[in-house]
Amino acid sequence: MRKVLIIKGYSRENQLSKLAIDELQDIISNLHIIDLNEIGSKGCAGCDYCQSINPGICCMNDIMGTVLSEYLDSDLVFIISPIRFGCFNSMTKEFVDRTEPLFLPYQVKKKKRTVMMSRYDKYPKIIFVGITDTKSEKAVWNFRENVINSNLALTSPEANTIILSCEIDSVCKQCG
Amino acid sequence: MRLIRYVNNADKIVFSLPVYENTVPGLVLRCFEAIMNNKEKLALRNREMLVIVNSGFPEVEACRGAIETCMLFSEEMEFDWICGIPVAPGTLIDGKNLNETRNTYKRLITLLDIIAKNICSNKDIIVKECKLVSKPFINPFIYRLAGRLIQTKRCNKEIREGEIFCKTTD
Repeated sequence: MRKVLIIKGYSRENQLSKLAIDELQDIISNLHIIDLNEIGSKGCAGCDYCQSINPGICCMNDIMGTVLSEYLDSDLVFIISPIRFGCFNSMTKEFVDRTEPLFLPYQVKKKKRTVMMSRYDKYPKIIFVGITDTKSEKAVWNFRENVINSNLALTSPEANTIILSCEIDSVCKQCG
Repeated sequence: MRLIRYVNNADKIVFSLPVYENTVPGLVLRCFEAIMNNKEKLALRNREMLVIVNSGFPEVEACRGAIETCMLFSEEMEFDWICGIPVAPGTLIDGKNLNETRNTYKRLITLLDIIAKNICSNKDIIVKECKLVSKPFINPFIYRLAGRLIQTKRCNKEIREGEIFCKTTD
């Protein structure tokens, strides 16, 4: 049975995000949701511990180790975030930054770009869901470019983006 | 908040940041969000913004996502965008004073000197000067190959040989 993981990066309740997650819960039985608000992990310190001191392990002894294990154990991962300045919001980006232990400290060329070499044999497919409350095409384009060319996406067997417009959510003045 | 006070008092704002996962690090985004959420507290005046983006990858293209994100932030804040300076790769600076990097970062030093002089003499920063850094500071193939050798040597000082490939997240 396919295991599906949702990484929820909203810092406040958003109707569209909730609708999307409810819909997925109705369809998929083996679904696990991680709310980044609840795990409250810190951002990457850029210390290189996970590369040169204790490979594959973050220096911060928090729940992220468990989250990364679950990430690798999944077949499909949804990462849901508001689009801020053409990027994830800070909470979601801090999570993405903390995936550094999933890679080796070597660089390789892939799809005409330099990426970090994979540490593991299997990575899940990813769908990045960006929720926007503006009609800025530039922001949406930048979001797509940023996520699809990230290490996470380029080491995944398949990575896609879905953009949802927040127009139906009247509360969402400042998404995220 | 101190950050808002500093931004409020500034005419020119320079962000210097690394590239994490193809774009701006989460910490810098947190800073952007804090400034954005306090936008109404800033006095009305013209502010200019310049960013220096340091990537560990050798292609200048690797800095593009971060520069675009910073540009979108400056648009939302109604700051005047000066330019984004890509440093690709910036790894070879390795904490040294730029003048100690000899010829490797000569173009970057030249550009930063021009920008600093223009800021001090209240002149406009000419964007075309940024073309000095439009190419990588080292050949990407050589960088990737040398990087692998250096990284392995560095890691083997701290950990057992082969442990670099350790597969565990627990």
